[in-house]
Amino acid sequence: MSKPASPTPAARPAPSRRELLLRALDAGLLLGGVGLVGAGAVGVTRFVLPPPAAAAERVVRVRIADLSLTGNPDGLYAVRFLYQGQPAIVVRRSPAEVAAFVAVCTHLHCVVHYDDVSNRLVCPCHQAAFDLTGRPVAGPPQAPLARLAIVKQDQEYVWVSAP
Amino acid sequence: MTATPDPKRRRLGRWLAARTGWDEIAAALRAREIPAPGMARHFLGEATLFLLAAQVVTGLLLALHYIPAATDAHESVQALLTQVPHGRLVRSLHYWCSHLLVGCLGLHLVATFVARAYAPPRELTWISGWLLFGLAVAFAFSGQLLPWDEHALAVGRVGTGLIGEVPLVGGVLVRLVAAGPTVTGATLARAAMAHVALLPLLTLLGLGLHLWLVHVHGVTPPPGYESQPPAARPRVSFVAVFLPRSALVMVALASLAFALAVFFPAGHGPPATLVGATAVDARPEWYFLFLYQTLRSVPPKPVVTAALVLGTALLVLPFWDRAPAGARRRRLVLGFGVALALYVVVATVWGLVR
Repeated sequence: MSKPASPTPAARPAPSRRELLLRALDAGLLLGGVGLVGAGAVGVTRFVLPPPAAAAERVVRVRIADLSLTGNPDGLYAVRFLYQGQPAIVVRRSPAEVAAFVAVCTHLHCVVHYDDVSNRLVCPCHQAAFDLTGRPVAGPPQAPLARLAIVKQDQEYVWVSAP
Repeated sequence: MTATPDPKRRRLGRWLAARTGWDEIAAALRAREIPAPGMARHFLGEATLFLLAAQVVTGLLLALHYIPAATDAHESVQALLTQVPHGRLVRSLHYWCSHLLVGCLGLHLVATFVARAYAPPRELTWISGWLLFGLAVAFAFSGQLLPWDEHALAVGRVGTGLIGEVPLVGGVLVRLVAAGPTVTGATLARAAMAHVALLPLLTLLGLGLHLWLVHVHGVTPPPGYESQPPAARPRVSFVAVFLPRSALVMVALASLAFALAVFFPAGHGPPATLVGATAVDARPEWYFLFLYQTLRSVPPKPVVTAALVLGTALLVLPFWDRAPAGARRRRLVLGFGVALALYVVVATVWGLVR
């Protein structure tokens, strides 16, 4: 800083008006370029990342009339359906009560299935199991299955929604 | 340097050489020599390159019949297998060459790691190789989804779930890769685009850089090689010795690929259903099995974080394990690498025998 050789700003000749204009032009171009690139980046990001589940239906109707409580060889204790693109499942817990879950294992996202021998929801990937309240009872998962709310129910259908 | 015209060469050859500069390229190649000790190690990179070429050819053929849409993908593969002449062979070759490629690439990584090929001045060669390795993983992940059978979807779900475990940016990454919060038909479209357009383009760029840097710096000499006087260093001609032998390696690899494709054709399961009609184990291919086995006992978040840390460590390795730091770091790096390789082998075998 205190080198005697370095010229002080005052020692430099004042820039001419033309130079000042050119510098302003450079700065303007730079600013405009940054703005354009930034706007482009925002636009491309929005283009690439789709909006989260915008048009998907919030409430899904699922037919449960075929859900049986008497040992049925076809395993009709559970009904599978899609909830906002995700596999989901309705299980009958008692004659009066059904429950709905996102049928995705909370460990590695494999699809869980109802197993009528153990009366549990089991994951084929690492042999995990959840009871019919969604609680993990065996295997690696720590978190319970995501519950879906039953907003309405009659003899034939349930209406399921995110809680 | 201008090449002297060869009087014996035919007119077309002279015409082409004068217009392409071929003579200079040929002269540079002919003058090229590589250290004789440890030459076998260099076949691994060569083999990877050859298998990549095989993937390009078989992939281009498959793309003629494959339809990258969730409604048609499974059926188009089925039609390829049952109706297109040699369809099963071409698909199985693509499948098995991908396995051989991952194997050769893994061994190439181990060999260059042990040889400390990342040492100056080859840091950028190592980094470009690191990028190519990441691209290979992306190729494997996107390619396995394309048949769109139920196993492909199950593995795709697990892989996407793991991407979601990346600290901080996991959610955004999943939306980028899966075109939404979860795997759907839109994911298949993205995987297909990445597999046939984006990843090949990036691989071409990365490979160009990698090969150029290998050309500029040559291969890593074996230990003690450069302390010998230049005239006494045992070396062989690249064109006269290395290339013919690597051609033999390629013939062997091609034969292996054909044998595997004929006797163990790639399978094609029932079509994927998003609702998950049947219980499917998302067991991945053997090269991801060690991860799958690890996830049996360790929660995904720490596993993914550890993988990211290890990947970053490999990237910055050339700048940490440097000569002035001495032999201690080198032993540490080598010991850690050996331990990790042992773990991968043991976990893979454990996964295979289960």
